[in-house]
Amino acid sequence: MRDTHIISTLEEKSFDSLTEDELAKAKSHIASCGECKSAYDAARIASRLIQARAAETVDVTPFFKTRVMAAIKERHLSAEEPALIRMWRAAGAMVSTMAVLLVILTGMTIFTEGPDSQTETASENLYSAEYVVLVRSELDNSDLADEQVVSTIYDLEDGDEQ
Amino acid sequence: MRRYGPRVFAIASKFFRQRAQVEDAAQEAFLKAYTQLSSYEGRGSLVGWLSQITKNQCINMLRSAKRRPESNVSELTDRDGPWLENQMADASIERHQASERSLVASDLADRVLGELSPDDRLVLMSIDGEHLPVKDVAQMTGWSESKVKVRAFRARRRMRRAVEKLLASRLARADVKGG
Repeated sequence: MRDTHIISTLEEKSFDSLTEDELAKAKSHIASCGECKSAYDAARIASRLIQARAAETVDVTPFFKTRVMAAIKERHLSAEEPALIRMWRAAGAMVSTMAVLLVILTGMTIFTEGPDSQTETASENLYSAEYVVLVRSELDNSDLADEQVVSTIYDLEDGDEQ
Repeated sequence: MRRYGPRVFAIASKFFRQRAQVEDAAQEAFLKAYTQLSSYEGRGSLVGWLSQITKNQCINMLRSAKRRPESNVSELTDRDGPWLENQMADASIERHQASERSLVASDLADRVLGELSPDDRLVLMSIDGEHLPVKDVAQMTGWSESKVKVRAFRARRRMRRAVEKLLASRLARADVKGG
């Protein structure tokens, strides 16, 4: 009964906040109760330990501000990362679309180039004799008579047909 | 930061003893204050708001911290014995105050408090160490006032029992030395 009374009083509030009356009662009680004396001493020391711990303070270092500023900067960068990733994804999609279009256009250019080049070759062949004569005339820097040109053209075309 | 740094450090020092832990807690508190500045409604003081953030940060860190091995508390160092002897002799208040501020007392306190769960430690340091009202601790932790009282009651009991273990170790050590 008496143990419960003293111990519960010690546990209900901090040792420092015990009133003079409560302390006087506790002291008179522990004079005849060894178990409560042990609890009383432990509670008193526990209270002093807590006070000692509460009095200890770590001071701010001059480098702390720099550390916090660096952390804020780092967190800013990491917060911006998703936006950058989104931008990169959008740009990536655009680039890949452009690449596909480029491939399609290149393919179309290659496959549609055949007939045009044949036409061009045919036209070149058709006028090749005339071309040779005209070029030759320019190279020789000599004026040819019309009959000469005509006969040369016909001779060459006859040769091609044969 | 220059103005509020000492206050933030003082609060974090109540929860942690290692400089690195105090600085981590203070840094996180400032970062949260910076990112949540828009949520500050200006009702209370800025230092009060920052103190609240710091305390919450310390609570989270304490809750996520692991408890120390139980065997630590009953192992007295060479420095602990004289301090306990001094306390048991019930010396004058001046001598108590001087010794309370000593590194030995604080080191021993940290070891004994390490026996408690983070929540118990928080409650005990807030009510018995900082002398905060139960209402404030309830507001800070988000618990009901009755829960805070029960926590404090249990924490005092655990703390007292841990000190009793220390005192028992002191007696056992004295017996060994005596012969």
